[in-house]
Amino acid sequence: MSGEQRPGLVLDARGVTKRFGGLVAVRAVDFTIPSGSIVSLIGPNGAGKTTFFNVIAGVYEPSNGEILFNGETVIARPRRTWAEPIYWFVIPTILLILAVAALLAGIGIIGHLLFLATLLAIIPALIVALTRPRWYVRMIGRAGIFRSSRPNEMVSLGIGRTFQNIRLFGNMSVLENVMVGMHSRMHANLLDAALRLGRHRREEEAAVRDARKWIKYVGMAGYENEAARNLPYGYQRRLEIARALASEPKLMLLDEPTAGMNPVETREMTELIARVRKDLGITILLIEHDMGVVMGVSDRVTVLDHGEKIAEGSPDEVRANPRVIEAYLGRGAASA
Amino acid sequence: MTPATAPLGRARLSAGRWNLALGTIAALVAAYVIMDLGAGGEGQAQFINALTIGAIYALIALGYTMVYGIIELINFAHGDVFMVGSFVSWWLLTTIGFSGAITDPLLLGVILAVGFVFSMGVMGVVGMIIERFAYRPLRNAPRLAPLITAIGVSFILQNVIQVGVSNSIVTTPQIIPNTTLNIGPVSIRAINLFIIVLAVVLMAALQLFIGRTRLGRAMRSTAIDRDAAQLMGVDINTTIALTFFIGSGLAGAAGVVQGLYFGVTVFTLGFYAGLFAFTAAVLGGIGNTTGAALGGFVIGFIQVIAAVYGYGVWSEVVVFTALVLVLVFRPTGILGQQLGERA
Repeated sequence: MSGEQRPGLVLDARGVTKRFGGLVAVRAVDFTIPSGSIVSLIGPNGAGKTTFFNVIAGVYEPSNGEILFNGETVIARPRRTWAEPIYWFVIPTILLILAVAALLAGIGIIGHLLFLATLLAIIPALIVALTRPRWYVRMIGRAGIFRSSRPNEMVSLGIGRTFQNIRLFGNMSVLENVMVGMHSRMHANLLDAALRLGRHRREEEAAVRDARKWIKYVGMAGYENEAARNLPYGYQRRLEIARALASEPKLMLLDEPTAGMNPVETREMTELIARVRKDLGITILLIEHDMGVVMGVSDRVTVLDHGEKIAEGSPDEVRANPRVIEAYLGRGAASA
Repeated sequence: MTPATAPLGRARLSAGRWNLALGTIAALVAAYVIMDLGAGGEGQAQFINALTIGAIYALIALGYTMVYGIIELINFAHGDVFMVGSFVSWWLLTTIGFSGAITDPLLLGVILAVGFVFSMGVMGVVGMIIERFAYRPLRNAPRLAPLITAIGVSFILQNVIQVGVSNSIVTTPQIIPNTTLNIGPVSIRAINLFIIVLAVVLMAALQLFIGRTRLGRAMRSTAIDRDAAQLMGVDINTTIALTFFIGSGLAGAAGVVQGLYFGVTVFTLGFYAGLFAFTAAVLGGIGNTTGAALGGFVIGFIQVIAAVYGYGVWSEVVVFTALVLVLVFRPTGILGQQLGERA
């Protein structure tokens, strides 16, 4: 279902609908994010912004519609997932049949070897099924089997995010929080760690260096060993951005990054967001209530109300749109 | 707040560590004196015995505390994983064909290494299978559901061993020679030394793993906030499976130690060992790996001290009284909560 790829779009949401029981939180929203832009999603409270955001981040599966990331369908309704186990067992089953055939034909030694091969074939199949590498997802995708990416897979694909209500790992240090953000870009497994291979040590050292770099980038150098929960509020928000940056995203989702901030902190955060786009070329989707921030940094603004898209365009166009004014201030204000 | 507060934070952490170290040393000295008074010269042997028993409890308690830390489940099947581990090592040793002490140090080392790696690996996989099929489907169910399931898994493991292997006590080959080593004023049996060193090495490795590696960080972040960890790219399914693998692997190691030290195992073993190890985990602060290790040794010492003073049959009463007292006066346990949190 991946369809034709439109060039220059990082994210392409097509007809996304999310129902919770009888409540339609998001209704048939089409939404695109051009590469390298800052796009904002606004709307009154309860307009479905956060729901839509969570669909993009892979938290909710949409009731309808699909999300393409870099031209590849990553989120949609699952299809034919029941057929997936067939792929895991097709090779072992063939081997098993051959083994039984060999035993019946009286070639005992080959039968036993084939039987052993059957057992050995099941293990890698199950490992692949558990870890779901990209090539495996593509392979079963060609057979029409589709399952939405899980949130951690979205991070591996290149979507980082922050939270509306800060969710740092409070007991862990600033450095470790950022290093958790790097998790999907690191490769050390249990064996590397157990044997203390040089590869593992070098990766850890490089990760510490990179983490320090990101901490410095958001202006928090010197706080590396402080526990995250002891940081002042504005710094916690910055740390969330550093943690998201550490996952090397192509698209960063910011959920109300200036909520609860004073004007000075808000200005610094706005500058940081603009800087992230300019220096690092990261595309940004912003959900925000502070219109000063939205109008200041956005290239494009999309307005949701009651789960539907009611306006889209440059900040000036949206500001002048009567439907937007109506949604925010009521009908009287729009006609006045 | 200025960056100058960062070193302050470090100072606080290390002060806590010093308190812990000093407290532990003081408690050990006190325990030694009490034992020496009660045992009349046998104090040293009893002290080593307590360390050994404590090490076994500590290895089991780590699995309880890690699983609780990461999915807030009291894994009642964990004691039985330990029991199955002791049967796995029994099976391996009898299958290879050893019945007595191995005097060749090289051969002994190889057999021990193979035994531990095999038993830990098998039990780790068993733990992962239990998690996959018994607990993962219930991950978002009410807390009581996986708890009851854990009790069910416990019965399954017991019955599999009872029906499939043996319904009575089996004798494990004693492959470590019964020699006594004299190191200065300390005389210690080879097996005690081996068990204590092994347990300390495993626990130190675990602490390093949790504290300093990518997967350890993933485990801690998942323990703190599972959803946030997943949204930051941590695959929580593999992380939780890994936690079960390591926790069950340590129980498997404890199972081998059980066979080597006590020479027997039985299918009901897991229930009592599990109960004591769970108490150890709660005593130290469930969810805290350092606490679990500490709690294990505390229970070992309580049991042995009770025995030294002739109240061996009362040791369970003493242990659980200690648990009640700790929970009343310090409900989060000796060291408080959270997987991998620095004391």
